[in-house]
Amino acid sequence: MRMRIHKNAIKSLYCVRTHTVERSEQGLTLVGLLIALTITAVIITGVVRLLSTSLDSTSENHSRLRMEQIAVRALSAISELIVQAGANLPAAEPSLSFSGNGDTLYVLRNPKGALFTFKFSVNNKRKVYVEDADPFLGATTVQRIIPPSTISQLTVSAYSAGDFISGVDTTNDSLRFSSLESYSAGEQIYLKQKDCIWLDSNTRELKHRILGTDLILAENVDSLQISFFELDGTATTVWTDIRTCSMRIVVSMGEKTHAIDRRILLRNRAYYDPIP
Amino acid sequence: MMQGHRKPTARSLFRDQRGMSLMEVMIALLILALGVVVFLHIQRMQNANVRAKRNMNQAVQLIEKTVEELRVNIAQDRTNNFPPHDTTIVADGASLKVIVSDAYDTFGDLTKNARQLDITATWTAASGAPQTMTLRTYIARDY
Repeated sequence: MRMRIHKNAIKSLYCVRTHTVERSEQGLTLVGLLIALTITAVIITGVVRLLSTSLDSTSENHSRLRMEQIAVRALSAISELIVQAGANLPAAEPSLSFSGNGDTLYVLRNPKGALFTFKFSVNNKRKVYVEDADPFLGATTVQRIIPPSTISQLTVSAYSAGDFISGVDTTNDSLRFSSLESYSAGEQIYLKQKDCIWLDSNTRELKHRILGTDLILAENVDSLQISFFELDGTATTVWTDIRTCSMRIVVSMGEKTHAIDRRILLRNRAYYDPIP
Repeated sequence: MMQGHRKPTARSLFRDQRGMSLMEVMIALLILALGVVVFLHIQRMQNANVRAKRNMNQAVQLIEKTVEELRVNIAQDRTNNFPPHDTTIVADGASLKVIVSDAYDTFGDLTKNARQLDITATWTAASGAPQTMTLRTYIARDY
């Protein structure tokens, strides 16, 4: 009997205790839970939307910046080449355009031509002193321009294949030509360098003269238009008349496009004004 | 001998299912909120940096374009378009001020056929602060 009472007391105590604990930690009701879940969902949706908007904005800004950089770099590189071009501009159809989507524009490493004026003649006609001989190192041929008194007397004569520059003495800043031609003070020489390029209107490419590793100038180029003009704005294909160049490049990324226009003045050109 | 697995008592069961206290939930939410705020702040800074770079690119582009246009104009009419005048150009959200002054050679003599250009591009940053970029270059005409 004593034992039985004892067991009942313990059981009773246990039940009371259990009931107390359950009531204090009973948790949320279904309605409370639903409300809490709804509020949480609303907050999380808001936060996710905020983050998503922020990420989209960043991505948009990055892609715009990238497009602008591609366009500016491509145009600057082409401008630099054309500004210095002068003698080697294409003889015909210099207008160039890309029309595909995401065309890749390849470009050369070196300018295709540069003008150097001999400061004075020397007794040894095969050795000519220049201010800086380094640029001649890459040259394979030269074009010689004798200053005319009028435009009608302009003479341009390119040396034959056998008359390449045979060597450069950079220590003394002098040039030695294999040609036995005489050179006079004030004569101008255009260089054709190994990595010369030209604009091919048929294949719509900026072409490299020597096959090698081309540098990728720009990707995602949608269109590139280059047109040459005389000073008065008349379109021309005669390189000696070309003085300005208009360029327009359009770069695209996804559905976005970015276009840049530029008009440049060609620095190097054949002299057709009387030398003062 | 054998160590038997102790049967869980009701007391230990209730302790295991206790859940998080309000304080713990609040701390977790605070950490989450801090994370979101920091992330948003970084994103905002990134956006501001990219915008600043874009503005700078546009300013450089505008300056280069303006200088080149001046060169073309002078080449087209070296009598009437030289020397260029001081001008202010507003384009693409930036203001460009071109100041033309005399140019001197290395001996300090005035050069007749060249001018010095000081070009200042001004635009407003996203923060509202004015930004400027100045370029000094020279422009010349043929004899």
